[in-house]
Amino acid sequence: MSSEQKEWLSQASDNLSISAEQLDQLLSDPDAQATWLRYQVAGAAIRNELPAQASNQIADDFAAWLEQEPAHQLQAEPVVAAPLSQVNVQQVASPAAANQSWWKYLMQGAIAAGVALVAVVGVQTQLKSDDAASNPLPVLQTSPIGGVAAPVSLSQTSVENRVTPEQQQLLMEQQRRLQELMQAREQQIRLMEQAAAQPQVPEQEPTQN
Amino acid sequence: MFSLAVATSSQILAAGSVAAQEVVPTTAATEDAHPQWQLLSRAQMQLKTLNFDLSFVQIKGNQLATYRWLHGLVDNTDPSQNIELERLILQDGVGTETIRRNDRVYYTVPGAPTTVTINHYIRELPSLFFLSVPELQRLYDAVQGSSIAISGRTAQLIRLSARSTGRYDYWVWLDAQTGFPLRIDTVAQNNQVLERWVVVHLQVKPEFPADLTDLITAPLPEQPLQIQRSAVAESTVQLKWLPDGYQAVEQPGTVLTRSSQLLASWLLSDGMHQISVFVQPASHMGDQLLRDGATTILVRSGEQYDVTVIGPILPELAQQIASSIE
Repeated sequence: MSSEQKEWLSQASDNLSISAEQLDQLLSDPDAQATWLRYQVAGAAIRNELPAQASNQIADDFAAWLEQEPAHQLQAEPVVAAPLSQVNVQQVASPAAANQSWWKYLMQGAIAAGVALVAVVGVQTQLKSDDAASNPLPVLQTSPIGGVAAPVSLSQTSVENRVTPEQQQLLMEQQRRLQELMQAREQQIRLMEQAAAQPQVPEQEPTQN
Repeated sequence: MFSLAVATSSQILAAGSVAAQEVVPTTAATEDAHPQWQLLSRAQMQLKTLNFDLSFVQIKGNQLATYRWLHGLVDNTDPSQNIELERLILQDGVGTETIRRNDRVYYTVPGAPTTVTINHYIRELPSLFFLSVPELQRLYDAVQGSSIAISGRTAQLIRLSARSTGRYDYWVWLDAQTGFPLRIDTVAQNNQVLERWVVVHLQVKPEFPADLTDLITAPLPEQPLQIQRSAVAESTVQLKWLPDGYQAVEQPGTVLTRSSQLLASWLLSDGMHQISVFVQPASHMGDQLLRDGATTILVRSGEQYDVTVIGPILPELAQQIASSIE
């Protein structure tokens, strides 16, 4: 389409007069009609005269496209609620029994969450008490709260190749003791929290052996 | 060792997103005119009053643990009838979680009975968000630091410096827009970061979180198990010195270990941190000084007995405590 033609079509769109010849051409040429329509729509859009339906249709079309888009959505993770039901059964059944088993579990070392269990000691050093504080500390690796006790694994330590069986025995013994003390610390703190809100109960002999 | 952990954390930050959907405007409730304390107070308020779904990682040395932390408040016309629910779920591992309904805290692990304690917050969360501002002011000085971007959000740094030597400092970054905490570093005197707590996802919800609705009415054990107060055996060893600000907590029962004998044990508390002291028969295994994040573990091996001190304190202080046992 020539630019000259565009010009008179544009004029026609703006309701300016056009010649009879141009009008004939417009009436007979589908291309010209299409262009004239486009100009009319553009003009109406600029003047904010488009009917509301036009935008609705676009929104509907867009919604339809969205429907057809492949879904890319992660499943919401289910939150584990299983332990609760176990808890209820135990507690409802007999408070005394629960009490006993609580201490029994403490004895067995299977303390509920919050226990920082000593899992692996990276490097252990024997320090004299004098310079212990000034030396850089080896890092003790523990599992996070509530974590399941990982077995002591000396094969993971960097000193593996340099320790004798006797030293390994000593390391494992130290590990075991520290692990127990970390659990004892956890007990202390739980006892503190529990005792804080409880009335003083008279001393009594432990009912379990 | 820690440089690795820092790299890991920045990767997580890059992957993490922090999106606050709705922010309820709150005014700092403190009379204190100091903006740093007002910011902390605001953060504490948000954590107690908003419904949120938050994930954080805890970095200790080269270890990293991920947690999801849900909080919801059921509002009632009578504020005393409000139900506050909280759920802390360890993401690495199955079935381990901590639940709080108002002042009852339930610790559950698979295969063991639930432990119930009484506390208005879950102890495994950073305690500095749950102590009142005056209590914090007793232990720390606060200074406002610079703003940096964390997880793509502007964060205001507040440095909490311990008022007495022996405690570590905290550097806390709070989201400038929502006031939520984004990161906490536990920092030693030489600015070495011992432990890092970083929020990697935060969603503040307009409604009560769906994952908590079951817990509003769930029958949880009502009372903590009755503690059987047993006579604590008289010990020949004495703890002669307490660090500044700490008090010995009365122990209602004897603390037990699976196989090691305990000659004596103490728990010292400053209201925020706890120090454990254990005395055991001499093992002649030598002294040890270990660290688990910001927790110092000191074993002092003596002629008659071994002393172990465990707590979030400087090794020098642990030494001093161990030396005071006679």
